[in-house]
Amino acid sequence: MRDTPRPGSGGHRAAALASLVGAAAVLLPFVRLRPHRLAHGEALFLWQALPAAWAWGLGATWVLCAVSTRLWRRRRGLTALTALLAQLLVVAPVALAGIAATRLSAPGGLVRVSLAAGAWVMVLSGLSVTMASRRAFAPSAWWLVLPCLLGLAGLAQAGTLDDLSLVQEYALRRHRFWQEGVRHLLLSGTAVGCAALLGLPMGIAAHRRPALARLVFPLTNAVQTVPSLALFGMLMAPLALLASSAPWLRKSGFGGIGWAPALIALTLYALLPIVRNTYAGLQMVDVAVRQAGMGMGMTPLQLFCMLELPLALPAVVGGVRTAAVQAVGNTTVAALIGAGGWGTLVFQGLGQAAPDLVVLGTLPVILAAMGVDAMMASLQRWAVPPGVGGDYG
Amino acid sequence: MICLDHVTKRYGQVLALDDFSLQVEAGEFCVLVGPSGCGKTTCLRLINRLLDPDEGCIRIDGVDIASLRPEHLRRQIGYVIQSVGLFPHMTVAENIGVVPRLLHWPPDRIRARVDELLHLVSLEPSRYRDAYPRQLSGGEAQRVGVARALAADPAILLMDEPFGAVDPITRDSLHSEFARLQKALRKTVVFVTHFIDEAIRLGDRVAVMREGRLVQHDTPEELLAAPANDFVRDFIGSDRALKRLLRFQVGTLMRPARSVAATLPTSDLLPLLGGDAGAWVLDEAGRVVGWVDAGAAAGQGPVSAAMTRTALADITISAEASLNQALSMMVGLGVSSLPVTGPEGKLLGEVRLEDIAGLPPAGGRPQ
Repeated sequence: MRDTPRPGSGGHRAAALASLVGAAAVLLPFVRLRPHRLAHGEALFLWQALPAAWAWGLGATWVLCAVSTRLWRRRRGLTALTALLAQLLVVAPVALAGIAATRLSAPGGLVRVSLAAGAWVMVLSGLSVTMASRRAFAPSAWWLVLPCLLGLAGLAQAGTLDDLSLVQEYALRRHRFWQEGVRHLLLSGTAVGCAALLGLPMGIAAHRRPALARLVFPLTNAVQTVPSLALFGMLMAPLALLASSAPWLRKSGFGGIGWAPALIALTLYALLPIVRNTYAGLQMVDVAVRQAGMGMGMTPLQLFCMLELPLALPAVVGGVRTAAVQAVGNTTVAALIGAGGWGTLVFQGLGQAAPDLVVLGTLPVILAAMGVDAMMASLQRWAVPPGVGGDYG
Repeated sequence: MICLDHVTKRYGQVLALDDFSLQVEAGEFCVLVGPSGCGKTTCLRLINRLLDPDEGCIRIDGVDIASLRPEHLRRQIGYVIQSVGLFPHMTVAENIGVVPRLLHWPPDRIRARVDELLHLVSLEPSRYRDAYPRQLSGGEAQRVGVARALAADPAILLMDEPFGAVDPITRDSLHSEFARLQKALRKTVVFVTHFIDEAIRLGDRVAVMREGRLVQHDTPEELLAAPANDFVRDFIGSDRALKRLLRFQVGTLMRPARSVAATLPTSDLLPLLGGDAGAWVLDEAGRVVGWVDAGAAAGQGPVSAAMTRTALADITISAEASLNQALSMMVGLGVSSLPVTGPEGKLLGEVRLEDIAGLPPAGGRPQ
């Protein structure tokens, strides 16, 4: 019997590169100081906002992080060390920015301090290194990112970040933020659910009947090419017409604007990845397997349940994963037609030229998309039947 | 008994089978052989109703199979294909147990049957039961494929080039093993191949096909002795006498072999040879380690110092191998006899060139 190869643990080059980018970011403007919320203000370097020793310390830690990636090949356990170091480097810039904000702003004043390019680049680099090292450690070890989440939560709890402009924007509309969040997730979740209910049978049908495949794919592809804003717009008129002719529909909030066009458009967008992956997953099942199953006396239903579905399942779940991540992002735009969600904050911020409000709406969308992706990835790993290879990070 | 009665099958304009009739007796090993596109695979797939004929009918034990539900029919017929088609997400045991599960056997019975079948195809159950197909070599996978086809003890086995995708050495051992298996099981086998050697080696009868028609249906001996026409003659090739040797196992011509222990003093050698030119030299475990000539008797020390040393696998042959292989080895090595060994390399006897040359001429049936 042959032994199956262990999944490789590459990625150390990517992690080293990201670490060096983080180190270079120490030289970028770290925070932006503005006399009031809507002013442009001036950029400050790390050594201007805080004692210069902090800047050198941070830079040195980044270099250490880059060096630690060289040790991965010696021992796999060292990837966990890099992951911890990288998370420290995610939390540290945020904490430093918070401290700088407290130092720069007078209590009760209008002065605003927000994160500038250097701080953001460091957070992103730190996250990249964390993800790369976590993957090298074990694709399923999601718990390896807990220190970073706990660290940020701890900082927020301790009040270290209270003087950052972003946190001040949040404090002003705490209730609204969560309300829109629930709406956002409900809307994207429902859309993906509907798309799965429609897309799975469509994918199976396309696999069964090649003629249907020639019909389904041009349609779903065409939907995908329409910009989301245009699709929302296209749906407004017919739905408004429909609602005006059926009062009971209007009563439930159905109309040209609001949740109805958003849900329909988001469902249409989510359809393509689900249909295509279902179809591709079924097509990928080895002809010999199907032939053997048929030759052994399986009915078409048994063939589907015992062979085709289990073998296609990872691909199907992969399609839902793509669709879900996309839907979380697309829902942001749906705020423009009054469907609500975190996009509301983004467009408000754009309207007021308040960049921190835009960030307040964008950050949770990114985090939610990453969270959904991680959840679906573990579902996908679970869907891979034993005995069949596959590496889903 | 399988009976194809004036069967015609078309794919669009192409005639795959043209008024084709064939009868396979119960317990007979029938090989369908012919060039690609001659309709042999079509013929096989008509028997388990993966295809339905356009004209004519197919009967199994007198029952027209068109009257049966295809799924039910297929569960009564073992089916082995070249690409094996093991289900990658199931263990070896689950793969073998598929048809019994479709037939609703109780789990205990399935488990016992799986172990029995793994033994039958020479795979250690404790080692292979829980393995997944991707952990198997090509030969192992094909053995599992055969075990899976035999799972519900079908009377009929359909095999579509089952040994076509494995390397020649593995194919040889699978042939020997399958011949032994068939001797014990006596299934009605319809076997498709495009290798005439395989057909002659395995078949009780061989059906040579061409362009959807049956050209000759005979025992391998008849086929070799009296090809029906030039097509069959060309298909068999010019080495018909050598092909015939495929039908005989080394065991049938084996004779007792003279052997001496490696530790024997050379001075004692001559009386032990008893007039023979030489003898096989064995180690303590009874394995062949070389041979010694009468000329060596003049030397000093033990036989092991005077003998021609050789690696075991290079010169020994198993009793199940064909005489064709034995002859090929002799010619290759430039020797006139080979030691025949059993399991663990123990010497069973020897096979000689003069005996192969002295086989009765074509027409006689093999033992």
